[in-house]
Amino acid sequence: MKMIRAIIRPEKEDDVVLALEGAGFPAMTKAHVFGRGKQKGLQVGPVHYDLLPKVLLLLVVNDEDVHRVMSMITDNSKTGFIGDGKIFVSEVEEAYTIRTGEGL
Amino acid sequence: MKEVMAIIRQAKVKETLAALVDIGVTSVTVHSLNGRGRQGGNIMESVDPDMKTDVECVSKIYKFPTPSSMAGDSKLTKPVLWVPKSLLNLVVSEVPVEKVLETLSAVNRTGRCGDGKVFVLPMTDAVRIRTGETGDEAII
Repeated sequence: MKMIRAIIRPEKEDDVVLALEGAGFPAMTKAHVFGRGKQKGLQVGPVHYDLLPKVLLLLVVNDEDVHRVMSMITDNSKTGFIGDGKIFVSEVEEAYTIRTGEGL
Repeated sequence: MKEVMAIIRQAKVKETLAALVDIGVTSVTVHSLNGRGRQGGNIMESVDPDMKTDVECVSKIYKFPTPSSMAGDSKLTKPVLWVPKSLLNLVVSEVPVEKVLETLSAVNRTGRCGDGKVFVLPMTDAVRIRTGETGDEAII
């Protein structure tokens, strides 16, 4: 099982979530976060924005679904401009549903 | 060293933290965030029986605004619903993971949908910034 953490543009959140839901991945967690990348924020004239608002989506999927989910996220959140975000994938050893105590 | 991520009901946070202190886990990070599970965040069915998961319009979500619906994006074909949740992030080494999992489920299990999930991830290293200690020493 793998945990996917996707940091995406807030305006693309609904597109990504609906696409994932349509493909059978309705379960996820979302947090509004602030971050910056290689460009150290954004310079608009004299104003420098250090941290930019992003949405962090967190989902845990089976190993065989990782590539499908990743391509779905990239397809739906891509604009081609700087600031589209990152996707991180990490290993999950165990996962439990609290209500039933079952492993996923 | 293991990282435990527990997504639980916001109302259960205080109780969970107290139970964790009892078994010796005092360090924890709490995030407030939104989540949804297999039901797609559809808790509205109990509030409004006409509200179904496959609604075709967004007019109804204005009655129960969520951060997504606040955007008022009428291009959406169905509402995107979220439930407020809390994420507890803890790194444990001394206390066995099984004990932490037991405590989390004992406190948070109500038997109804939305009790949450617990994930266990491997954690390779930790550093205590104040002293520069690394590994298990850093989190004891």
